[in-house]
Amino acid sequence: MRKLLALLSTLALAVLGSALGQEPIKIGVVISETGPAAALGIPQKNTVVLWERVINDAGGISGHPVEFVVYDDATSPDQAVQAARRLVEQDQVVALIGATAIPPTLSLQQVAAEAGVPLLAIAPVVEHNDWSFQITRATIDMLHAVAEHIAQQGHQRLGYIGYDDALGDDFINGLRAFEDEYGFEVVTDERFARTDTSVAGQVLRVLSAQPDAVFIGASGTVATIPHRTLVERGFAGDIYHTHAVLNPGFLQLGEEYIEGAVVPSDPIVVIDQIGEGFPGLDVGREYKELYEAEYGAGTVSTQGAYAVDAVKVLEAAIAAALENASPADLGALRTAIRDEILAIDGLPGVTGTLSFGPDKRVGVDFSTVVLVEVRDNDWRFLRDFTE
Amino acid sequence: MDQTVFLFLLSDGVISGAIYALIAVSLVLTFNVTRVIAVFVGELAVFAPLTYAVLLTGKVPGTVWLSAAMLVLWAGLERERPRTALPLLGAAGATVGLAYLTASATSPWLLWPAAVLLVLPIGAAAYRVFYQPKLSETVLFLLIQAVGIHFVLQGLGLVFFGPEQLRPPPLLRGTITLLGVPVARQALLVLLFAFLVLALLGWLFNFTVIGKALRASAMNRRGAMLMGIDPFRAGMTAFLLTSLVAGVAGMLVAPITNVAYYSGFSLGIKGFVVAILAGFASYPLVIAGALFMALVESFSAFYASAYREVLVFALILPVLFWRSVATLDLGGDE
Repeated sequence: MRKLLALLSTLALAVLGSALGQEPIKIGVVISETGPAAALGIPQKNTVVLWERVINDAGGISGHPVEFVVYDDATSPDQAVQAARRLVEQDQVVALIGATAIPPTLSLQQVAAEAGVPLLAIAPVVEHNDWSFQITRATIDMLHAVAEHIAQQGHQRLGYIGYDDALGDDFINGLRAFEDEYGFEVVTDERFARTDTSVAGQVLRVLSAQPDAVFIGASGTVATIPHRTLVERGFAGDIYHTHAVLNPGFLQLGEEYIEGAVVPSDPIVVIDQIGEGFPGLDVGREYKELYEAEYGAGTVSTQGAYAVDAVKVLEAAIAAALENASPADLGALRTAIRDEILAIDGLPGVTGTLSFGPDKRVGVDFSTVVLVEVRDNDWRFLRDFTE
Repeated sequence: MDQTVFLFLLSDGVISGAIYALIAVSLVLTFNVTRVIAVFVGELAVFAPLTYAVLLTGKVPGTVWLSAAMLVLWAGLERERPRTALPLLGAAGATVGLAYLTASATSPWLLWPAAVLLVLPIGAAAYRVFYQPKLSETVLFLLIQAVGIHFVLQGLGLVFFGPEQLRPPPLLRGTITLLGVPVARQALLVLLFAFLVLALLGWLFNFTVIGKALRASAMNRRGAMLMGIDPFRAGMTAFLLTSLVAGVAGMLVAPITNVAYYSGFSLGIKGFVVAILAGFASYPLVIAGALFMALVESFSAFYASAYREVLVFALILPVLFWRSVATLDLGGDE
């Protein structure tokens, strides 16, 4: 009896739905609202919520309203998998965006491949399968920018101090890849735990190797600790950070100690300071205006920019896919969307110009990285690499 | 390794040692009187400076509401005894009132003690609400309960304060140079406080009636009860002392090290290691153990920074082995 009722009501809705042409397109979003990556995930969620309204106010995608179904993965791969399966099977999404941190994203890639759903990764994973694409700029591009600055300044000995986990490994391995080309050498490999309160011993060891510059492979407010210790011990050379320090907490906790720090970044952080002619300037300005009008001045971030770029890519891909496939055949639509993403070339995004292809799974490249430095406790545009 | 580096690592170790000693002393004190291994002492230590940092921005943090809520819960449990319940309700109101009063003030002289006081009820109420009905359970039971409280408090810490670190301003700014090594004045304050607390506790336990009562409760609870010492009041005194020491220790150390919602855990666990090194019994051993562990941590950060945590926690192994082979008779009914 229940089944009959369900069937009848579904039929009725389908008839009604098709009659009104209002069938919503659902996009699944898995991000970290809680857990260690919460600080990064919350701007992503905010962006998705905001952009859903922006798209629907403009008429949706080819007349279909879009609905973002957002689940929290609590920065756990297990929960990410559960969320993704639910999105794919119960919520019947046409595509996935996620996750904030790398381990959950790796799990999402597997689910996406199994279910045949395109995934736009907003964490810098390195490998991709047939169904996953990357919106986040690759870490190696950020380190490339740092290597350019090192060579420009003529530094030859680079000290390294970073996290004692895979992230810390990633940074030092990436730096070492540029040693030969840019003529410097990584002379120390000191590590500390994210929860450490003092890095005195490690900093002493770094300084005893007499480096010309130091790279701190950490993130957020934690990165202020080794920086402060280095400055207090009298280090006067360049101090580089990773792009994971681009948040207000870092500036606030660093106070006057972090003056002059050089950080590779996406353009959104200093979008008001970049000169005309930089690719995607108006798209970036539009995003910043809308985001800050909704969530407050100075709240725009690179993580939110990745989320909005993922949405823009899907917007374009879904619009193109709907010309050949229909939401009634979910499997065919998902495949069509995946194929349309592969065909995207030169789409203006906030992070840069997005292009994909069978061999190019990362949307943006090195050309839109910028270097920023800390001046008067704020971010100042240093240089770009567009030439 | 030259002399400056050695002295620098030594000074770093001594200061860390003072902090670990304070936490470990709180743990040993609570354990001796109530048999509770209060692993949530770390959260009690960092809630105060986190609250302080938020009050400085003019906002009232969630810890105030937690304190008030726990006081109300306590009052609810005492509803048969209005002489106890009503003052507790008054205290809950006073907590919220004090928070709003000091949030708009800017003087650190007011905010500093206020931050410590606002967080104090959490420890005291936790004892009454969670432990008083279970005073005669096994040590393991009480420990697991403490672990549960730790998880709850840490989770609430994330909700109240967010994921990033905060740094309250120090009481004393600047550094002085001792034997060629720059030492932060705030760090010297930590050392001074550690020394004071240990001296005070030594005097309390050996020369005052309260101290004797606490020791009696620790050694033989039934015997103490027969002598007219109320085990609950002894336990409450111990918990209050612990919360106070931990809170002030946290307030003093936060300007040097930054604090976040997760900082309490590493403080608590390192204090726990030191307490194990001291066999959860002797206070002088706590001081020695804390210094030893902090120096191991400091020097291994220089020589083998990737293995620092491994070396520090591996210190427990020989101690546990030795203790299991040669037990110490503490007396008592366990």
